[in-house]
Amino acid sequence: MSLWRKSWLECRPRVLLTAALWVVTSAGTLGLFGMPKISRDPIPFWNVYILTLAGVVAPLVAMILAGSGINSQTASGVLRGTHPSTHFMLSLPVSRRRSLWVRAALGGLLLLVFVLLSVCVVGFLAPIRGAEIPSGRIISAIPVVLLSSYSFFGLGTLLYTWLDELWGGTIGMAAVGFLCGGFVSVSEEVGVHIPVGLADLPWPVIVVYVAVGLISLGGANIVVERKEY
Amino acid sequence: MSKLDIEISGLRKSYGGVHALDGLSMSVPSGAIAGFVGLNGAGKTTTLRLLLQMARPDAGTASLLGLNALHAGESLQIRARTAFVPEKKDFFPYMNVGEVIDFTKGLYPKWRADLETRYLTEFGLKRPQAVTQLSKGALAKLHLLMAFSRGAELILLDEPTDGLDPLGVDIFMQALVGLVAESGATVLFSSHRLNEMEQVADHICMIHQGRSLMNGGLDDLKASCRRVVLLFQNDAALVAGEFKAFGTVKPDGRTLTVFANGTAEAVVKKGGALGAKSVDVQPVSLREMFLELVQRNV
Repeated sequence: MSLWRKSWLECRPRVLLTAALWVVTSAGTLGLFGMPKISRDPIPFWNVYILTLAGVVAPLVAMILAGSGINSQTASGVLRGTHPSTHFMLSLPVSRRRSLWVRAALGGLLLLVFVLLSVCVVGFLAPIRGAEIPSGRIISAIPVVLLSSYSFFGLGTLLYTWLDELWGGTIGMAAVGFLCGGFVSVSEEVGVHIPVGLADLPWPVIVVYVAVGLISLGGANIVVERKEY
Repeated sequence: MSKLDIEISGLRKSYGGVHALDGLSMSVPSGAIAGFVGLNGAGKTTTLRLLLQMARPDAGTASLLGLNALHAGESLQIRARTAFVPEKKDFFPYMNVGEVIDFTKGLYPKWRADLETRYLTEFGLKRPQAVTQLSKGALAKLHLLMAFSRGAELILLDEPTDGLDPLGVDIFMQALVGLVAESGATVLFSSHRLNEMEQVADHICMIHQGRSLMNGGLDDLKASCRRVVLLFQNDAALVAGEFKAFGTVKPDGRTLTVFANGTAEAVVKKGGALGAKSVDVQPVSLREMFLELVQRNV
């Protein structure tokens, strides 16, 4: 059994939680697309959905998927401090960096699946409910949601590595609430729409989020290398 | 001089101003079963954590299997050849026994499938059992199974018998001795069960307050430590002061007991000079040796 499989077993309950979030969000949105007022002009509602996805739901999922890992080793639940099995894990011939990156890579892949499903399933199934979303709008929404959620995934990885499940989760969720408000408001300034043209994307916000994500992942790497258990 | 598989020199570690290790130096020769003895808080667990890079020392050097244990790259090589049973015996709560074994097995090319099967049976462990459903004793047994099955050259055990029933302790002791005899592995194990440790250990590292109290072959240490019982004509307390330089002295009526650490001959000679009616030199157990040395250093 590889480190990948261990990571998968570790985050299975988190995947179930995010799947539940996906079902509720997607089904709810598709349901609303069936309302006559929305189906007649679905683009504004689609834009609100993508902004909500990019600004709240996907970051929340990112925080959930970034949890556990090298410190807590837990599958679910809130835990203070370090899980006792961490000492066993650290005694194995696996570097801390490798443990962190395999777990982060798996979480990143799962987040990618969540984003693709959330954008594409709702976008391409909207016609069933009588709402037509141009495929260009659907495709262009993907990078916006991905970049936003990955920046929070990086931040979550740092927080859960630096702190324990309780404080990492608390601060992470607070960050989602605080920073996502900023994402939505800045997006509103550049126009509450997800345009097809790259030039119209909220680039300042995206650049900040990419920087936050990369710095956070780098920070998590430093923290995990220096941490004492 | 025989090859040393564990060599520690001047190791220091403080947590918030409290010295967990205060210049610890000790060594264990290759192929030895070394008992790691100390009171709670003496620094045993801290030492093992430092040796496996779970924490960093403030000062000092440490080598395992001839490699620098404080260097990240070399520590990975060490861990590939080492088995460790931690003080807190728990596993990943999302796995079952079989998954824990398979995950660990994948990291050790020299894994002994025969020993795995044998200890699964002897310890009464079942592969589909969830880790969260295992008792404290069963968790300890699973740790021991994995420590013994991975074909390690060095085995570090932190309170390995903690939680085991008498039968489990017996199986552990036999397995440990058998494994060392067969593979030549070096073992360092901490335990408070000194009577059991004395049965299997051939080397002792005794520490107190983060410093080494005693380090060497058990037979040599026991040969140098003796209880000398002297019987005097009068109250032994009158001459007790004459023996204080040789070790701990306990007068009781006309009898004077001296715990002599390398000084038994001198005590006997002194006793003769002071008119002792009889002198009896007795061997001491590891437990007595430990209690004596610790009490003297409190």
